[in-house]
Amino acid sequence: VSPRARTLLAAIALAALAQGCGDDALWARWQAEQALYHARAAAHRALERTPRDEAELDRAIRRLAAIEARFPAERWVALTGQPGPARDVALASGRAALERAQILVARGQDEPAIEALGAIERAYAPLAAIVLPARQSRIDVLERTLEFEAAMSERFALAAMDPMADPESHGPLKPVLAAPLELAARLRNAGREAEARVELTTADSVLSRAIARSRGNDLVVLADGLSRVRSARHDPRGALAALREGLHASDPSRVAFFARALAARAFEAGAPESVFAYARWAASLNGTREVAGWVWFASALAWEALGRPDSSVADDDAILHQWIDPGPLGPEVRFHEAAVLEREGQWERALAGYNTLQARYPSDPLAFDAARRVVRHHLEHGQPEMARVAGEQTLHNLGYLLETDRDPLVQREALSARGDVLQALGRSEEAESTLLDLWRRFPEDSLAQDAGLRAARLAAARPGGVARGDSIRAALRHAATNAAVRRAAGASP
Amino acid sequence: VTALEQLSLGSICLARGVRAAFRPALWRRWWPVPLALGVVVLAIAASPLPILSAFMAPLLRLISGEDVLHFPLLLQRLAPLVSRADVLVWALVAPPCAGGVIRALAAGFGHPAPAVRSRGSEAVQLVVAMLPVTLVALLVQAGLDALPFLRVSSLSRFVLPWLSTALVLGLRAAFLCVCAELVLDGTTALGALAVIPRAMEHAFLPALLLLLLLSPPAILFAWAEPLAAAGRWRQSPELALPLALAHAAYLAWAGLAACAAATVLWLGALAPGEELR
Repeated sequence: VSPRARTLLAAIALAALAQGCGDDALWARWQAEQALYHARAAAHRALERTPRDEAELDRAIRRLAAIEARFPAERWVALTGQPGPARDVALASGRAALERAQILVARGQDEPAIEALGAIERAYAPLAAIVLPARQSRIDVLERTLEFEAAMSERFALAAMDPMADPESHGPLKPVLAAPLELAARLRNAGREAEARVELTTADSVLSRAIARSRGNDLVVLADGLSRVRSARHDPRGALAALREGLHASDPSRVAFFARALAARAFEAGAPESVFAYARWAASLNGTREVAGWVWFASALAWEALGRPDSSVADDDAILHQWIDPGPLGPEVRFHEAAVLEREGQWERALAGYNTLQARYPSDPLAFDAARRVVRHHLEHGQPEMARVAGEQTLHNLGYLLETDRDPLVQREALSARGDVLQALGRSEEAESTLLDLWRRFPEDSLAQDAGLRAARLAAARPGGVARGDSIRAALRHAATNAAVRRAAGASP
Repeated sequence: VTALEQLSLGSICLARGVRAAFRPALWRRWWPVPLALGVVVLAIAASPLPILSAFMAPLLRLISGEDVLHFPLLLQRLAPLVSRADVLVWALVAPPCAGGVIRALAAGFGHPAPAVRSRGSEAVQLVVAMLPVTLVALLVQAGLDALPFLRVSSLSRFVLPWLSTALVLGLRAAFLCVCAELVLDGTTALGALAVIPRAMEHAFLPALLLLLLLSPPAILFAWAEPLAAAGRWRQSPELALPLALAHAAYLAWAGLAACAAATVLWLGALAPGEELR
């Protein structure tokens, strides 16, 4: 064999090796993930700039579209059934499509975004990791554009997804588990109680079937989900049964949390005696504030339900003495204790509790409720001057909070509380402007839309304010996303 | 010999070694080392390529887990993977090349090495002589890999990596002149290891000094590579590849400088009749 022929043969062998060896899908995955990484980074850079860099964003969209074109869904999604990197290529392609749709959402191009998200749901249907966020985004955009029926259809589709389709673990998908609850709450809000019941019943049977074929941690998550569904169905005993099933399957580290959930559900089930048993058990397993604190609080609620306010207050006191900082439980316990004392006529102690709550947790929603209660108590007990003094102090504190804490949730709650206090003090014009301000700042929020409705009522109640009230109602009918608020705005004042 | 004299000798050896590391004549004997280090970096970084994946993908999955071949995870794990593979280069490729370098350098100083019957057997002897360093480096590496899974105090978790680095550095300093002893004294691997007590007595401080002085750029690379791989610079994890290549190039150069400095050190402090007193 001549040297030239040998070289040629070697070259052919090398080329054959290069073509025949290795995993093409692995290389495709690398390229797809690399392109997605850089396109995403470019998009995020462009979105973070102030003002937004539209040219850079256009380039990012083109790069994302190029990924979808280079790794088309119709080719790679079909290969997702086989083991190997092909599924990751389909995921990268789907994520590029999702990212492109999110940019459209960020730009406010709602119609193309809705269309793009719908196309993603169809093209990547077997991939829950793509379909789930696409469906959630589509619901958000549809609700923002007041397409409530279409959004509801998407919610039905979300609730109908297989709860066991987690792409990584093939276990339960928490957003799908929560979907029937969210859907039922919305259906009830819209007055469609029968559909809500059907949806929850379906979820109950789907989860029961899934539990029957699950084990270990999956069973624990599913049992927790089923107990929530049953609670929403007003079936606390069924919820307790589901939790007990999960308890048998849970590993020792989670038993205490199950005992805590059982204590809470036992209270809902109208079995306060069981609460004490579960509470003792949970506290003996785990003495932390996350478990023992919450079960003591469940005991406090149970004592109250049994008509034993002294024992209820004693449990609240025990929590506050045990932990200097009881964590998220702190505001709940202080408010509950003060409310029980107020009902029992121990106003001085209750007032001290409300004031401590406001001082220690000034931005907690319960602190705003405490402020409202103090003013209301004085008014109900014929002490208008005391109410005025307490109200002025509250308004001063709320003004300071609104100036210093820019958290949107705190701003929303503080504005709402200021509107309530001003209304209670009879300063209806200021109350109306505060409530309107709240709605203007948070137009998509249900609480803010409700505030808008109250502003309309306040305006209509003022002499010569009917026209203004009507104009606020008209605006609410047009823009409110909450169906109940829209209906109320449409009804005669 | 006072410590000051030893340190002075170390700095002279380092200066000579650094100068020698720029001489093309030595690179003619040392080139397989940078080539092997570069090939290691490229083979790992390009392992998703179809031409390499048949061999590299199962190997990398075995060493670093199923997800290692994703972008940018592979680039984020490039530096640790390369440093593990480099142990083999330093164990199998570098000692035979060091033999050629030592021979050429010593001849330049008028101290020709004794003739050997076979270069192949000398290469094997050199590899065997450096085996303890390789084994300890591998053991330390395995220990550090297992550290996150061990139940030890946070103080130990902080101290152990530094202690193990110091141990490997001390061991390398003790073994620095072993190759020179083997080549220039014409002895066997076992005979060359006998130089260690003498080296500890006369040349440990200079050896440690020159290894320490060659370390800072490597530390700089070890700091920069994870940052680059995490996309902290220009959001480009791909920067990890040129950095790893530059790191390999520096290691090759520093290896040659250390080898040359060790030869000068042996000639100045450990050669028969030259021991410092």
